[in-house]
Parts: sequence; structure tokens; C-alpha cells
Amino acid sequence: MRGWRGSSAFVLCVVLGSCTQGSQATLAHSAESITSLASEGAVLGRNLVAGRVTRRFAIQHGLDLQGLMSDQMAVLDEMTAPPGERSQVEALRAITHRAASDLRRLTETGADQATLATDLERAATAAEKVRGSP
Amino acid sequence: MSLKNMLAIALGILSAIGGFVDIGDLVFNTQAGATFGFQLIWVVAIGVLGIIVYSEMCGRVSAVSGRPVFDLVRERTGFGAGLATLVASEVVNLMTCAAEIGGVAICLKLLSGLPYRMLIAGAVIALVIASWTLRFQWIERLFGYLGLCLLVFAVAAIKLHPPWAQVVHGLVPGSHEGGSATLYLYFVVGLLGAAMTPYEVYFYSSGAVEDRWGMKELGLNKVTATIGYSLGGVLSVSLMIVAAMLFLPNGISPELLGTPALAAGSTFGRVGLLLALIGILFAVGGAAIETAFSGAYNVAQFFGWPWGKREGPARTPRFTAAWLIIFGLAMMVIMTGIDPVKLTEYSVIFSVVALPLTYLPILLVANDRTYMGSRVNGKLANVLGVGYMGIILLVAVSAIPLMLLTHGGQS
Repeated sequence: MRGWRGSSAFVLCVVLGSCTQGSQATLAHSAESITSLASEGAVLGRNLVAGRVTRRFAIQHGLDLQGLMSDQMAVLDEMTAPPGERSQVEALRAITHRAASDLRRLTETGADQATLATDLERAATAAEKVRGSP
Repeated sequence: MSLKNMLAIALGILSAIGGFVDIGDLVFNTQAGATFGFQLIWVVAIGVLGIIVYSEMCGRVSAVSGRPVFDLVRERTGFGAGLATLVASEVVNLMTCAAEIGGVAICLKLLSGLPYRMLIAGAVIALVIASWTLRFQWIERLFGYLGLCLLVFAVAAIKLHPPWAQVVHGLVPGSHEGGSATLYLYFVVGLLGAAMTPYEVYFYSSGAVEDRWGMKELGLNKVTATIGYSLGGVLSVSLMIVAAMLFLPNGISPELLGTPALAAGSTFGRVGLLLALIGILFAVGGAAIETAFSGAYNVAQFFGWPWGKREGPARTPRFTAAWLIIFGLAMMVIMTGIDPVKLTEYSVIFSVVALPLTYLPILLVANDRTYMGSRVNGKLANVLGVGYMGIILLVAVSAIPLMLLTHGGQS
């Protein structure tokens, strides 16, 4: 019985802990995810320019990446950050917006994919910096 | 050994390699490699040895007794424990089947550009037709052989020139760098769960009865389980190496099924990309059939209904209805729009929780002289079997807390 109580208390702590996570953790997670998505978009763009992936794959995979980027945008839009973190949230929002737009353009015919890949790489670096800033 | 027997062994091994990797392995191995580099290779090695030990037991039980494992579970453990095992395995089978169908649809979408939901329906229809029309052996072979296209990742892993000293060092458990300790442990649990998925042993055991294994096939059982799963494990490690070489340095944390294929494209161009997509398509397609059949085998064997693909639908109507219903329910689950990659993570973690219910009865039956006669477990099989039971209990208890603590492996 005592063991069950202990286990229940542990599970409760875990659940409560996960519910009361701070905005800093959410921000860090968003920044990590945006870094990853932008970086993958850059790899996709470079591969497309080099002819290493089919155009159909690039379009579909690019749209999937853009969808995930939009999810991150929604997370940031809903986030109520304390005053100390607002500038970071704003910076990340701008990066996400730009990266989502680059990913969309990457899948369009006639786009300058090499430039877009470079821009996405820059977006990944910028998001990484936000993640690393205090 | 005759040429015919050698050919049968070679074909069995090939289909075991191609059939080893499913969506769980694809997701967890690439994510683990992208997050921790080579540091978790030891978990794959432990998981592969575990599935070899228990599959060999399952195959032996089926070959000696002429009955599959689940048939003996209820008889050996009683109605209550048998029912708990049945419910747990059916829930996990359904979740896994839905994730695999989602995986098939994603691959088809990346290849064709057609709408995802339409492809889900198309995938289920194609899988049902294949399951209905093909003979059991040909289902195994078709999906197993075409799943071998995944070997492109093994070649990519070599071509990328990884630091082999670090790769070998990854076989030794120890402290880790990068990522939190809880995330590391979450991946340990996930990789073990992906390698030791319950449906694999149920399918292997029922497949042995479908293929009418007897005492003569005991050698084939040992060789197929050992070599087939070991080489399948090499594929899993290859996925981890490729992710460690291409994704980790770029800060990419794979969230999509197309990401591993992108790695193959980066290494070998369009041919590599297409091989990877075809390999993933048939590996997850085969796994979708295996999970649906595994679910139907379990329920039919538990309730004592006539079962078996070989018998035909007219002789096994309830068994046939069961796998059709599982396909239908899985399609409904994935049609809700749930992300197959996320669903895979949940199904693997829940399968870990159900692992003791799957593997303990196998260990008990394999040691029971009533069923096995002189072919009960030897010392080595028992030492490994009991050792793995300890590991399984440990990971089963820690799986859900780790999933909650890491928010499903995200932090």
C-alpha cells in the first residue's frame, strides 16, 4: 500500500511538474524546434539546387516543414511572456515568420532556391542565438 | 544441408532483415542519432539481442508444440492474466498499425504529391488486397525484400565516413554528452521498445505455425532469428549513424518521416532518395500487415477461434473479420489527422509498458516440460531470458514517467 502511495505521489509530481513549466522552457523549446526546421529547410533547398532530390519530394517535404513552422508560430502567438522575455519572443516570432515564408517560396516554381537556402540557414543561426541568450 | 534448405534460410534471413525496421525504429533511431550521436548504439545492441532471445523461444515453442505463443498464454497463465495481455497487446497493435498506415500514406505523398487522406484510404485498400490475395509466405517476402531498399542507409553510413572509434565506443554504455539525463533515458526506453515490439514476437510465433514448422525447423529458427535480426539491427544502427553525421551537426531534430529520406538524398542523390522512400514504404507497409495480423492472431487464439492465413477466409471467418476490423479502426484513427510520428512515439512507449505481459508468459511456456518436453530452455536461454525480464520490468516502470518528464522526448 505504501509503495502504491509513493508511486502515485511520484506520478502526480511528474504531471504537475509538466503542467507548471515556465515560459522560458517553452521559449527554449520553440527556439530549438525553429532552429531544426529552418536548418532542415536549408538542407532541402541545397539538395534541390544540386538536383539531389526530386522536385515533388521537395514540394511535399517543404510544405510539411512549413506546416510545422506555422505550428511554432501559433505557439509563440499564444504565449504570454513576462516583460523580461518579450524581446526574445518578438525576435523569434520575426524569425519564424520569415522562415515560414522562405519555406513556402522554396516550393514555388522559379524561386531562387540557393538564396532561400542561405536565408533559412541564417534563420536557423538566429533562432539558435535566441535559444542561447539568457 | 541441401541447396533448397540453404535457399530457404537465405530467403528467411533476407525477409527478416527487411521486415525488422518499422516506423518505430525509423523514428527513434534517427531522433536518437540526431540528439546523442553514436552514444546510444549500445541500446540497439541490447534490444536486438533481446528480440533474438525471445523470438528464438517463440519459434521453438511453436515448432515443438505446433501451437503459437498466445494460444498457450491463456492456458498457462489463466483467463485474467491472459485477458490483460490480450487487451494491452490489442491497444498497442492498433496504435502501431495506425502509425504504420500513416507512414505508408506519407511515403506515397512524398512520391506522388497526391492528397494525404486520399492516400490513407488507398494504402489501406492496397494492404487489404495484398493481405487477402497473397499467400502468407509471399506477404513476408514481398514486403521483406522490397524493405531491403533500406540498405541504402547502411551504405550511406559507410560513405559518410563516421569516426569508427566513436561508433565502436557507442557500443559501451556510459555517461553521455548533450541533452538532459532524462531525455537520454527516454531514448534508452524508446529504442528498447522499438527493437522489442510485442507484435514482432506474436507474428513470428504465429508465422512459424502458418509455415508449419516442426522439429526439423529448429535450426532454421535459430539461424533466422539470430542472423536476420542481427542484420536488421545493423540497419537500425545505420539510421543512427546517418542521423549523427548529417542532422546532429546542423541542429536538425527529425520530426517528419521524410527527414531520413532526405539524408539518403543528400548522400546519394535522387537514386538514394527513391531507394529510401521505397524501402520505408514497404518496411512500414509490411509492418502494418504484421500488426493487423498479430492483433487478429491474438484475439482468435485467445478465444479459440479457427485462425490462419493459410486456411482461407471461409474457414476462418472471425479471424479474417478481426484483421479487417483492425485495418478499419487503424484507418479511422489516422484519418483524424493525428501525426503518425507522434503516434509512433506513444505506441512504442505504451508497448514498453506492455512488454512484461508479452515476454513473461513466453519465458514460462519455454520452460514448461508439459509443452516443450526435452526442448525446454537451456542454461544460456534462461540466463538471458531472466536477465532481459529484469531489464523489461525496469523500462516498463520508467516509460510513462520519462515520457511525461521529457514531454514526449522534446526536452
